[in-house]
Amino acid sequence: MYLERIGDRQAALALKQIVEDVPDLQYDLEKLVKENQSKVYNVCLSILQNPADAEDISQEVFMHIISHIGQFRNQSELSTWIYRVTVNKCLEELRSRKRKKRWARLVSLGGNFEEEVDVPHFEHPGVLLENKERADILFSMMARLPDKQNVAFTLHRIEGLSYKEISDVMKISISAVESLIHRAKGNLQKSLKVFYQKQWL
Amino acid sequence: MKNLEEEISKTLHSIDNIQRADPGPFFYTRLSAKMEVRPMPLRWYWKVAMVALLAFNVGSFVLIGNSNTEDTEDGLNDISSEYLYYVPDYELTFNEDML
Repeated sequence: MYLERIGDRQAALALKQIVEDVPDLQYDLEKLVKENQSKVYNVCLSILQNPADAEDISQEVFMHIISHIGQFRNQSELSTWIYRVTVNKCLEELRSRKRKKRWARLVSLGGNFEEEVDVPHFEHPGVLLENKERADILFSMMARLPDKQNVAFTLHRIEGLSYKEISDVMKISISAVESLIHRAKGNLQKSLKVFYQKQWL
Repeated sequence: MKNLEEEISKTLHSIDNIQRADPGPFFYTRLSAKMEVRPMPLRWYWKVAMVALLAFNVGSFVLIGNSNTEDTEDGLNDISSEYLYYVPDYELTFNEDML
């Protein structure tokens, strides 16, 4: 059994909790992680656009899932719950980054702090080679979207979730999801237009 | 203008058929290591015990506070009854003199 193999009391307790509280879920901890790690990491990477941060937050997601698995009552699909935790953790991280930026601006007291949102260069490893250049531009524009629009757009276009699945993950109505994605597309079109007009001048 | 619209459309579709990115090969090993140093979440019975202890403390403070108040009120009643005895006399004398 996994418990004896790992010899880790905390992981053993966490797994025991999974089996005790949710008898239908006979998930082994390792299996649970390995089956879902790419989807969690992919969402984190697409939203946070930084591989190191994405891995850290993915680990946070699994630690949360393991310690709170007792609260999961099969009312929603396990994957929906995992996506929800992932999205919430990513939003927390984005908020924390914004707080740090605000604090840095305050500390600089009108010094040389740049007002422009600094979006570091990011390349998603899953993009086809011929699309790399355009995808990099698109990702930099996605990072400038409001958080909820970014999340809805990412779940739809990167993870391929349906509007219904996104509404379950984000706990909003399907029409709200439609509205978020529509506004995200509109904002992306506007910012891409400005970007290319500047480039081509 | 047509080129611009076309370029925007191509950019928006550049993430079609995107492949999922995978974390590093030792993701699970690193997660296990992180879990070893993580503090255990508080179990429900510890939470209940802490609430009970807090309730006991609050209750003790309230009881002690009430018993002190009674003693103080008794003393105050003695003093006020003593003074009340003199006040009407003074007022009566004062009123008679004035008349």
